[in-house]
Amino acid sequence: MKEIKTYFDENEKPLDNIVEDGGFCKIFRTIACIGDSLSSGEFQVMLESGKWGYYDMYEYSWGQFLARACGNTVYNFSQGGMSCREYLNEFADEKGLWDEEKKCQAYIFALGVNDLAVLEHELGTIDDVCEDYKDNKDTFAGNFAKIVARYKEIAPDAKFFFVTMPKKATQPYDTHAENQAKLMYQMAEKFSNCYVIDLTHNGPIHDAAFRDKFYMGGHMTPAGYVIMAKMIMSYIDYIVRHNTDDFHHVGFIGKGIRIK
Amino acid sequence: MDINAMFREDEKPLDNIVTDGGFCKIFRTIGCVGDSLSSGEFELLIDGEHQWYDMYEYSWGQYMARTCGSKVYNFSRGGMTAKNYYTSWAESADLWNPEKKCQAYIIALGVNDLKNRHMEIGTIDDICEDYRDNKPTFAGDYGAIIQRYKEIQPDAKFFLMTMVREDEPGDKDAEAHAALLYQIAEKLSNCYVIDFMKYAPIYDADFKEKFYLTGHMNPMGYVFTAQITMSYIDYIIRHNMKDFMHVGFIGTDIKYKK
Repeated sequence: MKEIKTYFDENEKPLDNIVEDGGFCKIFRTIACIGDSLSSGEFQVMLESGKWGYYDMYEYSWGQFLARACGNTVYNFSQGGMSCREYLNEFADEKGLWDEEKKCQAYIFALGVNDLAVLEHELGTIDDVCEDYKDNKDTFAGNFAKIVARYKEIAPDAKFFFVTMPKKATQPYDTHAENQAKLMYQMAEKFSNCYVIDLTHNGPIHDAAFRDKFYMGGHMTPAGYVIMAKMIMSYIDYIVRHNTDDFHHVGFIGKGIRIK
Repeated sequence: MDINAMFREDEKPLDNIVTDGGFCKIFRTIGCVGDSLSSGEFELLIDGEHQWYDMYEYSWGQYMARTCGSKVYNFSRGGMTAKNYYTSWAESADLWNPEKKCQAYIIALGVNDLKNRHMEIGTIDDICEDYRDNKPTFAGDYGAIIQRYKEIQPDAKFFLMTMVREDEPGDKDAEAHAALLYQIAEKLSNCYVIDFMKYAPIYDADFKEKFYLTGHMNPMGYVFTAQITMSYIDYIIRHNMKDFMHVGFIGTDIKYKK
């Protein structure tokens, strides 16, 4: 067995160590993935009719590959085209995603692509996040934070992981990715129990060579979602190993047991 | 994370052993068509007599299922031949049932046909356009099994497993079998060879000492077989990424451009 201290090597960078089995990500027995098409196992394919077809195939989502690797329950709180605004204004209510019964120990947020790069919603700033989330501004920042705050109300000690947008070596997409990533770090500073999965700077660039292997149209292939699951699990494993004190009490999240 | 390392052209099959199933897990349903070695068969010597037990939960297919989180069917039984499978057993065991159609099929037949029963191997020409016309040789029957499953699941992927090499030099039956599988993979679409003859370790006395229980494998042997099968499929996918991008649509009604 490798030395225990290598688990905690200060020189290690995220994704230096790719876990095959989920690593310490499996300490979470329940996880919710809040996201858009890329969290929904969406396949984009050219149909015989000559039109693009879009299909959310959740069993191929990185969340479900993660669930099968870790043996935990993963909820897809996601749908193709999702933005923070739509999540708050319609989707979460329609689908019962604020439901107490679906509260989780961890929430992985992967939102921003549609808000910023497709719908061109205003990014906003960290100052759009107010003490009472109901007062948040109607910007990406304000709405993202509102979702976080609502889940913190439902599961106060849950852990939150904010996934940043991988770069694509195209503009203005990469600028949106940089802006979203910067905001995610500010969110993680502002809220307790929040961590950044920084695929913008630590993940592979989704450039032409990457897309040639792992994309089908504008979305990922089955193998692409497998590799995404590996990166997410490996990044969370890294975060847990480098912040072990933060995760000692994961087993008590949502149990109603009052711990010191 | 070095994505390019996944696609190194000088990589050989089984250079990289995956312990999590690798990209094999893109298949949500897999059918394993085979004989005793696909059935988790254990062979015991009791009071001087050989006894055989198919214990499917120990099959490499089920180890694979548990690793990948996929549904794996054992379309297999001890003693199975391509002829028996095609002409009677699959029908009687309901293995052509469309409800059991899979995205991928792994076919591991040949040992009983060629090494134990010395059936005629035939040639690639025994496989006809209409499988009902195939010649009743190993080649013809093996081809017919694939063709029949292609009728049930047109876009499924097929992995054709060679025998392993037991001695140096290899035996002629196993070599002829491997050569035939490559020809079948050329002739029929969506077929790939898992060439254990060439790339797996030699199953010699030392190997058998560790991984065999009399004439079949022990539990560790089946775990090992699962690992090399998953690793080989992972290798095939990584080196043919475009072939596998539409796997999610296999068996759906979605009509996409191929």
